[in-house]
Amino acid sequence: MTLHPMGIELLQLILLPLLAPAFAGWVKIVKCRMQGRTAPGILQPYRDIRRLFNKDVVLADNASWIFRVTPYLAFGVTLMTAGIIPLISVDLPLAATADIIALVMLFAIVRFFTALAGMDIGTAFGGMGSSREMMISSLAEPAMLMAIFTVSLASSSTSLPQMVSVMANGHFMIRPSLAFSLIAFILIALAETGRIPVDNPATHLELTMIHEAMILEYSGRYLALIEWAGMMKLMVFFSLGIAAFLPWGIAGSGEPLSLLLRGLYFVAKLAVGGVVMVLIETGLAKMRIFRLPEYLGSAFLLATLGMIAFFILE
Amino acid sequence: MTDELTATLPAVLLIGAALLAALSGMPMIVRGVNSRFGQRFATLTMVLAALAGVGGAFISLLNRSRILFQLAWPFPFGPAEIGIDPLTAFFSLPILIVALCCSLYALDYWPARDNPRTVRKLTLFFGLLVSSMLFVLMARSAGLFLLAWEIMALASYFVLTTDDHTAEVRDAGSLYLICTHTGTLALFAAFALLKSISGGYTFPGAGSLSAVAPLATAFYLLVLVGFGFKAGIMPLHVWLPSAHANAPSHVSAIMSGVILKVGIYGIVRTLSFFTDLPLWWGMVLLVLGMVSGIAGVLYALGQHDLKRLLAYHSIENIGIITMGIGMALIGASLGSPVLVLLGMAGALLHVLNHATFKALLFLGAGSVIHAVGTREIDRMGGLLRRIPWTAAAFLVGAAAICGLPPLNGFVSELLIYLGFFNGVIGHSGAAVIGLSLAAPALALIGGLAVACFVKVFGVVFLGVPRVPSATVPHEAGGWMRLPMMILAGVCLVIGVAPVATVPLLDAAVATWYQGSGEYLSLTAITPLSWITYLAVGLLATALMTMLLYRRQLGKSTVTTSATWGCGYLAPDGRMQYTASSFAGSLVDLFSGILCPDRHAPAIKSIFPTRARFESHVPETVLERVYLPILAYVYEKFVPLRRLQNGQIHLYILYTFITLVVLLTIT
Repeated sequence: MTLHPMGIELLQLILLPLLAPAFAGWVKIVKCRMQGRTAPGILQPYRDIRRLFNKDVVLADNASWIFRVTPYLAFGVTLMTAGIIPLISVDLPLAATADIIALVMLFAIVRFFTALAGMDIGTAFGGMGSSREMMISSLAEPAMLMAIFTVSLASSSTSLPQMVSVMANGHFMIRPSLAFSLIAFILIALAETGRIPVDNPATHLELTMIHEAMILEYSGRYLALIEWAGMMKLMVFFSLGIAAFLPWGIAGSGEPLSLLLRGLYFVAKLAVGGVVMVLIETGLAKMRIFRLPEYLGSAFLLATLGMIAFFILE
Repeated sequence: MTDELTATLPAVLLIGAALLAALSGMPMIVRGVNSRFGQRFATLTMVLAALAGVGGAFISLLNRSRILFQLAWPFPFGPAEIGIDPLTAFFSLPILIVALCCSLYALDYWPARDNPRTVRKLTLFFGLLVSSMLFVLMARSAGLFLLAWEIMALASYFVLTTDDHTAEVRDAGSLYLICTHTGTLALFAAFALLKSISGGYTFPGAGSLSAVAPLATAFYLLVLVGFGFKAGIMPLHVWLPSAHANAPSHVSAIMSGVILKVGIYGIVRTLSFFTDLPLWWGMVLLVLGMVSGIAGVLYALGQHDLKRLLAYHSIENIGIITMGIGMALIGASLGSPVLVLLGMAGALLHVLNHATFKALLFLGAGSVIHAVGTREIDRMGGLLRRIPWTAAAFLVGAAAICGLPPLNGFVSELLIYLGFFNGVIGHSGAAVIGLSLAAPALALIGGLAVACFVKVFGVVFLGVPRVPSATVPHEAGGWMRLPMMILAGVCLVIGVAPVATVPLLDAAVATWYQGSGEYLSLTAITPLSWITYLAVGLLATALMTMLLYRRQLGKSTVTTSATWGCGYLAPDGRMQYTASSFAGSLVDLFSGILCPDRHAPAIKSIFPTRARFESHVPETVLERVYLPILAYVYEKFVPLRRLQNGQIHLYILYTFITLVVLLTIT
């Protein structure tokens, strides 16, 4: 028995929102251990989401429909990215032709509306968060495209499933170009998902927060959706990194047993990736916001170097 | 339909549309005609012209028909030829759609009742402007082309200076006039060269001249300057921001949406003459496009004048279009039809898309300005509640210009992206370096555009008013809302079903490039159908959102209260981020390019005193490059000014002497 590609697609769409809080919980556990604190259980993010859904909503007086629509939109659009990225299969009808540019643009939609929501409530904090988020993302976007571009050069395709199958089935070789773009990608992923050293997801200190400042006025179910979407985004970036740089074990048939095995393999890769991120987060301090352009600039240069290395060496 | 009919019908319809457009403002000349009647007549005629013209353009594009007429032309630079082919038809689409919307918009925006002094002039020249643009597209010989070009330049000068009692408008008009005539001068020189290259003043067919000849290089550079001025390619854009900011909003819409595109048409048409293109032709355009795109959006970020900001975004989008054309030229010189098709189709589609969303944004800006009576975005805020229709239309335009799916901007930018990827794979040399740097440049443009439109929409429509206004802002009238809805609809349709534009684009590109002769279609090399899936998915998400929003998911209650102000109990509109503070960090980062003027208060004592902060990004290229050079030249040429003494008979003498000298030389 094999599962129809459309079934796998659906499976991915269900897997992402279900797994994302667990992944966020896992990251939190590792981080607590690393910093010598007692960790909450892996299920804590699920409990948080449920708690928020049951809470009352307090809206700012001058919030317009943009503010109230944004959480649903952010959740829905982030969910759509799960249909494009190969998590456990490359045989995805939606992903077969959609490519990396569509993915970048889906994230841009979420950012556009979240930043507008930050401006909607009419305080200094929202505007501050939106302004900073926009500065970071407008510089991170070209660097991210450049990094993925190098991978697509190596596999001669911009479609993600195609990239995965070419990279996973070809001869294994150490490519200097990919090493450069992997480092660039990690730097950008940290910036885009709002982790240390760019942003601290745990802070609510006025002067340092970026993403949190934008969503400061959200409460109740709106906050739950925004947080959930944020967890999914984190996992999507990891999956993208895995698909682009560690694609082994994603492609395969649609048999349930093989799917399950690949799913476990994927979870294992995610778990290791989470540990790496915590190592980075624990080892570094948050950067001053005025130094971020240097950080993103070096990410861009590394990605460019990767591409030049491709032309020179391959 | 018979072949003859499919060839002549579009010609009849398009020429008819051009004549109708010219006719639309004519009743205003007659003194006895009531100006209200004149305005309604003009709008009705323009609607008819647009319907006829769009019909003609579609027939021509779908059948790929071409036709050429020769006119009796007793003057030099003859013979005069008028032609319709898919390229002409494609460029006439945005002109007609935008002209239709702007002339509907004028009914409520510039009503004859309230503007008795200006409405006659505005309506007359608006019609002439639309007509002359259509004739520029149809002209196939230098004389006719330049004639229509000049009428277009003058008509747009007169519509631009509608409000000519303010000095700012007159200055903007003069700057425009100087720039456009400098450009026309270059075109005169270029067409004179064309005679020596091809042997005549009529336009040669696509790919019929060799670009290797040394004169061809001169022709290329002159054409670039001549049309570059009109299109607003950096660094020839200096007239554009002030002109677009000071014109009435529907005129800004047609200037930014369409007149710039006529400049692009000029580049596309004249480059189609050549074959054996050297690589650097394409590289020059690609680099100019990158410079215009990035610098345009950066300058836009620093503006606080709503219309000036939109004007800089036009430069950005012209940059994107130029990048596409550059890529097509590179493709032509590398012999890669895929690259040509993706680059040119992306550029052409972006021409249409930019015309629709930029016109939409300018019309939206017009109704914002109508509502609050200022162009300064830092004096606005919270308009979403007051003018919800305008806000919704503006949001659609903003999302489209940022290239977000499911709107049209995404489709054309995607085509150009795909071109970059395709160009890099399988080629080598300088072209690859250029193309591979262009992809992240386009991403940077996109990222900065999102930042800029979050700023605009956030500061203008969201939050609370920053300055207490004397009057309550009012929503735009029906005639202003209808064209905005039409344009938003076009943005959405192209964004959801881009496949529908494929036959049009294929036909236009095939007219431009007949290189290898093999037939290629966009459907074969781009996955356009998935954009539809993606768009449908997104629309479904939005619909679900709306349903959940209405149903108020969950049992919990919603209460409203004041926004948390860090413990401060009297939050005030002035506590919000302004346009300058929003863009501050990005403007600082690029201050080397932007050279912002900033006057911050110096802190002198321990107690704060009254302080004033001011920041603004000037038109740096004009102020730091052109004006110093021109001032220097002006000073050096003072002795020559004795020749210009204001006596007409002496001027006639100069003309006479010049003629005699020229006759003896030739």
